[in-house]
Amino acid sequence: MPPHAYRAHPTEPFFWALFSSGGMVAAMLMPVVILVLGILAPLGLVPASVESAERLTALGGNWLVKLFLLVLIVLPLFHVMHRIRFILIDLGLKPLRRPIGVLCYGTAFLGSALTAWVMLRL
Amino acid sequence: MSNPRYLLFFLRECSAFFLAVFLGELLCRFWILAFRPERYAAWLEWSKAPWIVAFNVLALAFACLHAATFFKAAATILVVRMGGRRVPGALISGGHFAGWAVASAVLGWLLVRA
Repeated sequence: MPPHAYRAHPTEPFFWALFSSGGMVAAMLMPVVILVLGILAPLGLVPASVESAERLTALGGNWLVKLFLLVLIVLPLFHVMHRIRFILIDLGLKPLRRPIGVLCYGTAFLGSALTAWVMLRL
Repeated sequence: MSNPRYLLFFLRECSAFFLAVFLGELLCRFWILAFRPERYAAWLEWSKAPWIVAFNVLALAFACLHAATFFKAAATILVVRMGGRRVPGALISGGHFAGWAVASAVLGWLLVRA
């Protein structure tokens, strides 16, 4: 292989797979979640019970809902951190690509662990 | 930035930041419910602040931009062959947009039903 050729790190396919699946989940599901929980509910345009503690805690007790929330948060998290990693590299921080990778994917793994912990306690 | 294609690329990349922050909001909500339920009412009041709602409106716009560009890219990335012929890209991305509409309607209904 020529010395200037790009050598993919062995973990690249793993993170690209998470990027693409996370992108699909983010694209399909995030807009309606942002609309309902981030805009309509705070503005009082949907019933207050939609985001009440009782309702969300009751829903969160269901294992299917826990799994759904885990997927809803974890996969898009890997998608955005992967994208932010390449934004930083494209902005000229290529010499720091290893620490940036550790920081970005580390944040995603940490967020995933935190999400799993929250779902177990909900 | 005067190049429209580059501007669109830049805005699409910016969507990552807004989505990341909203994911943090979502995780924060459920963290409070799980570990500090007595503070949830206060968190709901905080989430009604105009600057929070305004940020979420921007996040929604960027989320929609992300979805639209992602589904359009699917037409290029996904090569589907039926009967030896490649399925047109417009059908691929159209199918994604239709799925988005159905998923949004179903999830939206599940979220708002009392």
